[in-house]
Order: sequence, then C-alpha cells, then structure tokens
Amino acid sequence: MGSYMQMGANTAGLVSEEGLDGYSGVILSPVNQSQADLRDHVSKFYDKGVADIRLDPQLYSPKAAYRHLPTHDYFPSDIESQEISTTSWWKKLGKQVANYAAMEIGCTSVCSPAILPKKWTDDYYLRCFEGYESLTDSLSTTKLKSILTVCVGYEQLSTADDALRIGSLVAQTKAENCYLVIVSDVEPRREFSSVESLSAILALIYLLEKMSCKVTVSHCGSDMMLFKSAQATNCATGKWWNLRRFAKSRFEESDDEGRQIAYWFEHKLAASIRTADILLLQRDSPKSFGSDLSVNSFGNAILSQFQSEPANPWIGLGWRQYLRWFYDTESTLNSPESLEIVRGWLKDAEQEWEHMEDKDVILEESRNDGRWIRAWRKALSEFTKITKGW
Amino acid sequence: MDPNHIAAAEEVALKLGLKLISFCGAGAYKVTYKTATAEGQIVALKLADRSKCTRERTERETEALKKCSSEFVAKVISVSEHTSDRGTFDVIVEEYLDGGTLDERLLTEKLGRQDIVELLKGLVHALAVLREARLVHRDIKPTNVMFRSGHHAPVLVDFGLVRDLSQSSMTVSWMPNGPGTPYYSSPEQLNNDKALIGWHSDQFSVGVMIAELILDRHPFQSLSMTSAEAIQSVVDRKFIPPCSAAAFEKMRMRCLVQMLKPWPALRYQRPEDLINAIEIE
Repeated sequence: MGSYMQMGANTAGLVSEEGLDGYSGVILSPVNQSQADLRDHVSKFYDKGVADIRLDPQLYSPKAAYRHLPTHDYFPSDIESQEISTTSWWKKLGKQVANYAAMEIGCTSVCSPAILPKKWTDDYYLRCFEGYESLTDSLSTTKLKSILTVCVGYEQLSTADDALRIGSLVAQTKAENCYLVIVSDVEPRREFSSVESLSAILALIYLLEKMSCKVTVSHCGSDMMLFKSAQATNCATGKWWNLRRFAKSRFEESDDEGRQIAYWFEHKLAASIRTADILLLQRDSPKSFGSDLSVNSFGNAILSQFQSEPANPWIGLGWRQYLRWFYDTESTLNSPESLEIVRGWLKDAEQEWEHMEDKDVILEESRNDGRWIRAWRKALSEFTKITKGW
Repeated sequence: MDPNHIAAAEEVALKLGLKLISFCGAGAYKVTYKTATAEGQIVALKLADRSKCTRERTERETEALKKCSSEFVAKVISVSEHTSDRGTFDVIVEEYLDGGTLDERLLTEKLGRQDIVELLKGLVHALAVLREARLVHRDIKPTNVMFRSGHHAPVLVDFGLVRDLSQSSMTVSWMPNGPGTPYYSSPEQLNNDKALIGWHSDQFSVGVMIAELILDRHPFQSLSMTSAEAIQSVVDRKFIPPCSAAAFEKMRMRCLVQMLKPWPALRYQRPEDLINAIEIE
C-alpha cells in the first residue's frame, strides 16, 4: 500500500527529496519527457533507491496533449486508423510497449496501453485487455511486472451495474494489479461532485480490490481520501494540482494556462487555498486552519516564510506541502477503518465550512466553497449501500 | 434412430477396427455408441453429422478436449473424418465412461453432504483445467457429468458448445441468448453478454447443479415460483432468494451463495479460491 509520485514537467527533482521520501514509487510520463530524458530519469531514480518505477504509456491522453508522446518508440503511428479495432493491433502494441519498457527504459513495472474510446463499450475493454495479455506475455521472460490499465469515463460510470460490468470484464483477465484512470471533463482544480459517478467509481475500486486485483488510482487530488475509503491499495498524484486528471478541456483554458499559483492544502477544509485565504483564516477563523496533516514540515516552512519574507514566492513549498500531505494522509488511511476515518474528516470539514459561512469568511476563489464535501459524503453513503451484499 | 446413422456407424467401426456393442445416445447433431477395440478396450464412438453441424465446431470440440489433460475431463483417443454415400461425418473416439451420468446416478442414490462436496471439488478441478486452457464449457448440467465405473470423481463430457477464448466467437452477438441449457445457464449466457462469458459462467452452472442436489429445485426458485420464473430471475441478474441461502448455510455450503452471484466479478475469481472456500466450511 502506498503513494506514487506522478511525473509531470520538471518534476523529477522532487523524487526522494528530503521530506518527500515516503513515496512508494514513481509513475513516468512520456507525455512530458522525451525518450532520452525518460531513460536518464529512470537511471537517476534507481540511484536514489526508488523501489518501483512504473511506465504509464499515456496513450489515453487527448491528441491536443500528446506533446512528447509521438516521439517515443512504442507510439503507434496508426493510432487514428481503423486498425485499432483489431486484436492484432493491440497485440502488436502490447509487445511494443513491453520491448520499450524492458529494452529502452528499464523500469520495474509497466501499465498496459489504453486509448480513449468514443464509446465505453465491452469491445473497447476487450481490445485494451488484449493489449494487456500481450504485454504480460512479452514481459514473462523479464523481471518487469505488468499492470492492467482500466480507463473509465467519469460521466458514463454512474450506476452500480456499470461498476459491476467493468469489474466483470476485468475478471476475464488474470490481472493482479490495475491502474485506474478516471477520464473526465471536470474543470482543472475542481473536485468531482457527481454523487452517482463517485459512488460508482468507489464501488468499482472496492470490487476490484475484493477480486484481489490491487488498484492504483492515477491522477488523484484530495479525492484520494475517497478512493482509500473504498480500499484502493495505491494512489498517485503529481505536484501540479491542475494535473490531477486528464481533462480534455484542460488544454483549452485561456486565461491562466501556464500560470502557476501557489496553493496550500488545508486538511481541515479538504480544500486547496491561496495565500490570501491562509491569512484570512489565520485572522478570522483560526479553528478552520492548520491541522496536523496540513502543517507538515513544508507547511511550517511556508508559515515561517510568511513571517520572515512575506513577499517571497512559495510555490515550490506549496507543491511540497501538498505532496507531503498526500502521502501522510494515504498512509493514515491504510487501515480497515479508512471509511469511518474519512467520514469523520468530511463531517468535520463540512462543519468548518458552515462555521466560516456563518462568520462570513469567504475565500479568494469564487467556487472554493466546500460544496463538494456534501457530494462526497453522499457518495460514501451511497457506496456503502450499493456494495452491501457484494 | 436414423438408419442412415446406424449404417454410417457400422462403416466407421469396420474402418477403425472397432466392434459396435450398443447405442448410448443421440444429441442434436451427434450419436454415441459403445464399442470395443481389437484388444478389448471399451471406447465411445461419436459421429457428428456434417449436414447438421459445421466441421469447425467439431474441430473446436476435439481441440478443446485435447487441450484438457485431466482425470476430470473425458479423454480423446482419435479424431477423423468419414465420407460415404451416407454423408460426411466427423468421427471422435473417446474414453468410455461406464459409470453413467450424474442424472442416472441420482435415480438410484441420494447424495449426502460429503458426496456433494467431493463432486463439487472434482468439478472445480475440471474448471481449473478449462480456465488454464482458456476454454468455457457453456453446457454444464447433470447429463454432461459422468463417472468412471467404481469411482465417484466426476468427468466432464460433451464439449459441443465449448468456447475457446483465444479464438473468435462462433456465436453472433445479436441473438437474444447465447448457447447453453437455460436452466443451468449463467446470467451472462442468458443475456448473450459475450464479453462476460468466461470460467465464471461455468462456475455458475456448477453452482446451479450442486444447489439443485441440495434443494431439489432451481436455486433462484422461491416457494411460489415456477422454474421459468426462476430462470427469469437469473436473466434479470437477481440474487438468490433468502430461503436458498438459508438452506446452503444449514448444509455448510455457503460457497454456493457466491458461486451463484449475478455478476462474474462477484463470484470466485480463481478456482483455488473456491476450493479453499469449500474446504474451510
């Protein structure tokens, strides 16, 4: 059970840094690095003693976000042809990814290739799973571990039967590990808030784990606490709050694309907040700010800097405060009682938001109002009901 | 009995040096005879009429049987083809199972818990062999479970509807329900949910068959229901009624509850998990 650091642009330096050495492994990002850079990073990660270095082929990325992806040897030049509907195409791709991982990159584990479908049909999953079988067969003579990638559409996965169907498709494989990618159009930095979709995703995680298929949820944010409630074995995140999931619309943002804003993750509110919000809460609602999990060593460094050098940027510390919160929290939730723990946290967080509302404490960002917490609490309740008897 | 088939069987027996002893039975497209080799070994001779069934299907059946080397699966001795003015037939010579079918055994014997447990374990071992070979039997029922004389270990027979998951499907997806005997079929078979058909489907059929031995009725049939309504419950992906679950509990056969769950993901994922569950009860 553990946290994985998901690589983004200029992220490799954070791996195994002092205070951030609690991650179980890293997940490579061919979208963000060239093949040569990726190879170089892997070599450095081994030197740093990273236990698990996973390759995620990231073929599910929207075309607009390919960046370095087409320059990697395994990238199929015919990805837009009709061939992708054939078994032979997937078998070949699985083999190519295996060869690339074993011969070119030398990582320790490999997620199977998966693309974004127009429709989430059984046939789509069967084809992807053929890629997994081929990957697994090709890796059988190596020490590399294969992991089944399961992409799910957030908007399309909305009932218990949807979760049961996907779980039953996964059951046709012999996969013992899977990499769950939640594909959605939810705006960057916004929390999932559909009770139906969230409860179905949680049910799917619970089901896969019950099937002895260990789940790593990719591109998590604060929603990691929900996924851990459903007993996900691992959760992965990255330094960019806005990298938390692959939203097709992410790259179409106009006004703040590329602009980086420093965020503090406040555990008591289950929310990311900005500089002005920290000052506001410290002044007007101190009870709602700074729990043990928020004030990690990087949190302390940020608060000290506010005192000593208030004009200095703290974006780097912000990434680290969040990344540290992530694995401390993930570790706390490696417990059979995780569901009850998170229920308690969310109940408390909702009360804090209500308290702030009563005191007219309003945060900087217009939609940073904690409303998703009610949806999360309802999703946990619904999840408990639908999985009863499974 | 079709006299054409009798004549064809006589021709085949002569060609293969077999002596016809008796007629055993006929299915939709296949007839079976008890025969003896020149050395006196008793073997089953099966003739599949090519006018009623494609060569591909017979090939799949025999290839499947050849892939399954197990005491819990009938052994194939030879496969050939016979053409005469009687027609063209695929000819399969198989191990002869002289202990009869489970159906026949039940006419003379009431199985106790230990017999049922041994039967279930034997069938799960057979499913493990099929799963490893990426095969799904799709028609597990009492007439397709046989025994060797003097033995209680079950032997799975009649792979006529076998699905080889490593090959393309021979069944179209627009049919309302897939191949199999509805009474013993899983929800995914009854709904022709082809992508979900795997070893879990055979697990469900074994579950129905074993449950029937305990309950004397279909496990989805509550007291006021007909068999047809029970099958509809399976189609609708319902869970077994509480009265069935209580009976399994009383018999210390709780594993049946999980074997009969409506979705493959909710059943046992590996044959060894099921064997473990049986052994700890």
